[in-house]
Amino acid sequence: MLRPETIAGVAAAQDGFVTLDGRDGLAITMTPEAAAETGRRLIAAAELAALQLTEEPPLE
Amino acid sequence: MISGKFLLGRGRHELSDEEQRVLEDSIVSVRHVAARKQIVRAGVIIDTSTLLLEGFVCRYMDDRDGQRQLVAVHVPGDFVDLHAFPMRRLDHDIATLGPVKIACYDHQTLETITERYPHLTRKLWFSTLLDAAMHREWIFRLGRLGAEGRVAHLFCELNERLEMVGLAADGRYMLPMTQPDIAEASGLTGVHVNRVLRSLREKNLLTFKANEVCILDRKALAAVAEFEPQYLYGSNGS
Repeated sequence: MLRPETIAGVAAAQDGFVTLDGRDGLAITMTPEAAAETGRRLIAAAELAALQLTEEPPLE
Repeated sequence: MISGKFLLGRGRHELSDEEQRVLEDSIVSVRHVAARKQIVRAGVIIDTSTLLLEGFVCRYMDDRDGQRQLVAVHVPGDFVDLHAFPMRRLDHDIATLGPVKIACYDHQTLETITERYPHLTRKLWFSTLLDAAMHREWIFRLGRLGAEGRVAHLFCELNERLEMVGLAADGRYMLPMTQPDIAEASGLTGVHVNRVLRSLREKNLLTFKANEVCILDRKALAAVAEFEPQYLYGSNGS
């Protein structure tokens, strides 16, 4: 079973697009607009998830 | 012998002279097909199977938007659609990558072979099991490896397979695939493949230019690809 990734993905600009690479098969290419919006959504979700970690211990 | 690459590097020497002759004499026609032509369409009932003599073909499936995903690449010596003999139709399309030369076998003739030549039949069965082994490896490749690993794995696998049939040496071989083809075989965009190829070149692992692959550091490339060739069942133990 895959486990949540603890290493941040690597984003890069290539030929007018954004590539995002990471472990466990993460490999996606996005337009700049989609990448920027994904970034905003990731930050919002990360802030929520961080709160959840302090409120609810993970299930064993 | 035009069928001489079948199972070369994978126990072809275990075929008797008679079995090799039967395989050769059972060819009903030899065709030359231009690059980028479909040779089998999914779902269509077929009564022949194809041994690839020269060139490369791919198996592929299209998504709802018509975007192609390559699910296999075949090299000379491969029996491309032998499983259509018992299954009668394919669940995917087959097309040429570059120009190819193929040998066609009637299913009726293959049926006769299965009835009269049990050892040759097991070898034909073995070749379809090889396809299954490669499909398993591709599931691993696409499911677990990152962009660099996926592309590196494809080049490592093709190098190993082409070495078996004498079409690669010292990590060099010709490959009539474009960057979009590699993208479609790796679940990536062309942009991503371009970036990966540059990265592999900058790390002195591999170059791919004008259809020529040159593996500069086989061991390091295999490490990036998590490539272990045992699933290819080569005669040399790989």
